[in-house]
Amino acid sequence: MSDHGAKRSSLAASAQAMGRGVQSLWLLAALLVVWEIAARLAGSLFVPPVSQIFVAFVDTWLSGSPSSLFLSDQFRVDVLPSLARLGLGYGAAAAIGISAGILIGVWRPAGAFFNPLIRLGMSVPVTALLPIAIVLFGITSGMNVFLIALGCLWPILINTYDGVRGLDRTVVTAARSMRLTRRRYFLQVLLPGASPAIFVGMRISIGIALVLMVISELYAATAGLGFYIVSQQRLFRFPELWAAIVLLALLGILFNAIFAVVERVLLRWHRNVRPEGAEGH
Amino acid sequence: MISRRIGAAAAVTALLFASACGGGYDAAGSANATTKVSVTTFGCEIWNTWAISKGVYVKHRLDVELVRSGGGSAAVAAVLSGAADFGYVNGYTAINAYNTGFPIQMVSGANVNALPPAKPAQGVFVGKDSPITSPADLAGKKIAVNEINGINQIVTASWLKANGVEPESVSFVALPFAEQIPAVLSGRVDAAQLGYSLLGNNNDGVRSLADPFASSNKVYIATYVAAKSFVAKGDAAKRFHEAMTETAQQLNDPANKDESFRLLSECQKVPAETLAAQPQNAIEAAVDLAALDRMAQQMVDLKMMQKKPDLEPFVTDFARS
Repeated sequence: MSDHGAKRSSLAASAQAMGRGVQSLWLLAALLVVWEIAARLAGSLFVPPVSQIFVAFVDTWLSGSPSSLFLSDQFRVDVLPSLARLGLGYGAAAAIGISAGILIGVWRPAGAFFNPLIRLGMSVPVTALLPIAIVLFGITSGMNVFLIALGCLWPILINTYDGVRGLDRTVVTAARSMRLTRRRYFLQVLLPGASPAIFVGMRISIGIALVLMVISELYAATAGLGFYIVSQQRLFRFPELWAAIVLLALLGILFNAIFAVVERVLLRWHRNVRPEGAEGH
Repeated sequence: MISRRIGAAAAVTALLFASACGGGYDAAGSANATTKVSVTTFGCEIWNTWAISKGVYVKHRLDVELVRSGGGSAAVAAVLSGAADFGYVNGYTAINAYNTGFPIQMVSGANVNALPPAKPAQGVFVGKDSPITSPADLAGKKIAVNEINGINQIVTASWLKANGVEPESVSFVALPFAEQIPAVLSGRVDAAQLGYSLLGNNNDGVRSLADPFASSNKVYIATYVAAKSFVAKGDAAKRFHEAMTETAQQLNDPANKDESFRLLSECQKVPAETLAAQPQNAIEAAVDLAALDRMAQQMVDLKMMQKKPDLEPFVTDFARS
């Protein structure tokens, strides 16, 4: 292909990508425009125009100096503690959920033994345990971390269990016939085989972690995004309150994007072996 | 035959019209008609139990329906959305909402703090054996209040400031009233600000450092606000204030004390003797503009508001003392 042809095809690919971007964002843009117009016409103080929320967002979260990556003091005071709680809670849930899921998946008697306990744990809404968590952990970050970890644990554990139990029998039999060591079986057969299901559980748990992070901070907290939201509501500062909600939405999108990248890298082999047309299902 | 049917249909229509639109009710409160109004409540307010059982609201041609609200900001939202006609809010929340630009007006006072020589009704409670003995000891500690940026936090912060303690040095934690004293006793918080009447059976386990409300002069713990459009529409708001004034007069009459506690006891399911033994806040329907002004200044001092708003248009003429 000539240079001229290559340039043309590269331009066409860029235009196509841009078109896809516009296609996926036009609805959001239209919604924001409608919001702006409707809020201005209604003059509601509870639902301010998008432009006002944007100004509040920048003032509240991004008014810091370049040396602090433009992150404001408010960001440091309320968002960083929330993210630390989320990271610890989610990390603990992932570590416990994956380990326990593999254990009960591999060892059938343990699965049968723990099954009722897991069902019970799954059926209790974690938010109902908030008063108990305060008694157990006091008014500390431990309380928030505990609730996030508990809420995220079940989807990870159950999906890991399902992933282990659902391993392709042919592959398992082949691995056995090859007399793989336990370590090699675990690292080269079990873990890769179960990882698509493990990732599903972990991805579901990201949303749960964000929700629980906010809920656990609405009550008995001294800092955090949930605490900030309540505080602004009490002060009737609705643009700032919406700015916090927008930040939460952006954090959710960011975490999902990061997760998608990690998943794409780690599960590349899985995408390659999936049948044609299975993409995105 | 046809004309008789038309006549009967006209009579039925007239009757339906009368029962729907008339029947002694109107929407905004025109002369001589009873107005159905909804009033937000947090539970059992002594003035509501009294006014309803003694027919004070009815005397002022008000058919009051009490509607539960989760807090002051929810009450403001309720009156602005039309879900309620009168919102029960503390004075600070009311001023803050007005300052933000919400089209509301204060139509009545209800509850103010008990000032000396009356026995303090509020306290900053610490464990009986706690090493905390003065406001200065609270620096760096956790204090439980029922809501963040609510009246209890504002008053406690002002009290700390008046005693040389920077409020920023204290962590305020939102806990429901019922959980505050257990949290103090278990050491999960260092102190709690609440009323004596909410101590339950824990009187012996805690002691109060001071009544923070006393250092704030007169504070409107409970007031009623209504949407400006509702106030302008008729005289229902004025009649509501008159009913509150009459209720306050009757409740402040020592001859009615026992009966008022008996009525409150039925609502709260707490023995009347227990209620009577607890120090009470004062009942005051008239709104003292100077007191509200001081409350606004407190919020400015605590950096909760940039500047003090002009409260003249906020308080209706008929509600002023």
